[in-house]
Amino acid sequence: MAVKTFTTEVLTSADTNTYLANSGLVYVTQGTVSANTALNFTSIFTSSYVNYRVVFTPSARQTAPQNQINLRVRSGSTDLATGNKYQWGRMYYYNAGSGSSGSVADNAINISDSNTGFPAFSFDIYAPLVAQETFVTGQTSVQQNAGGPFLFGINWSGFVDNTTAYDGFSLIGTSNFSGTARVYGYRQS
Amino acid sequence: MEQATFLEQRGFMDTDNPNYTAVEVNGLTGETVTRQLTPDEIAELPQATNETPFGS
Repeated sequence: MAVKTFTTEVLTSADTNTYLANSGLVYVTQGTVSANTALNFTSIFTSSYVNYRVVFTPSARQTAPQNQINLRVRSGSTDLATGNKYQWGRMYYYNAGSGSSGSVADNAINISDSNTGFPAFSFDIYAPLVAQETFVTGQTSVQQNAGGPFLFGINWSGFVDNTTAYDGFSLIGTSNFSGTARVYGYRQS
Repeated sequence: MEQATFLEQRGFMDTDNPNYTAVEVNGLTGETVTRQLTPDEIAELPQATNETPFGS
């Protein structure tokens, strides 16, 4: 449903601002890493939105491998890192094959592979601030350099197997974790 | 087990960033800071996986 249906030819500044603030995806925040280990988003999920989209853009082409990224949810300034509460699965594919993997009890969700360079990825995170399982679905595109270069693509999903509300998340990389993650909220109506 | 050896065996030895730093974006304060991971955070770094067909 539209925020407002216009019936005149006058578009006021107030109406324009309302539309800007209520677009389909609303920018929330962003963070940039440059050869860091982790990118923490602390206290960014609020009651303004239920579901969020995260888009990560690598900062540069990388010729060396070893840049796996993992995802964890976060409450306050603490990641959920213990208890093996993450369940995840993925389908991966490259020019000459494909496969799948996953876990029903892990301490993070794998969203790329340790043998690849900078990944580009995006994912949706569903109702992290609601006291129910937090689900995620995502996709990753990355360049495999050893034996390549060639595409290594991953479609993945997972959830946190508890009923805790989380107001943030962390992306944890191995070497040369560099790039920018932008977070958007899905407008509710 | 020595921490470095422990992390290396898990495939999560960040040799390019031996100080294990994190960029933290705080939605409450609007601030972004770079900090060192705590010893507990380093000990809890995730397991690396390798399913690509080539390389190590």
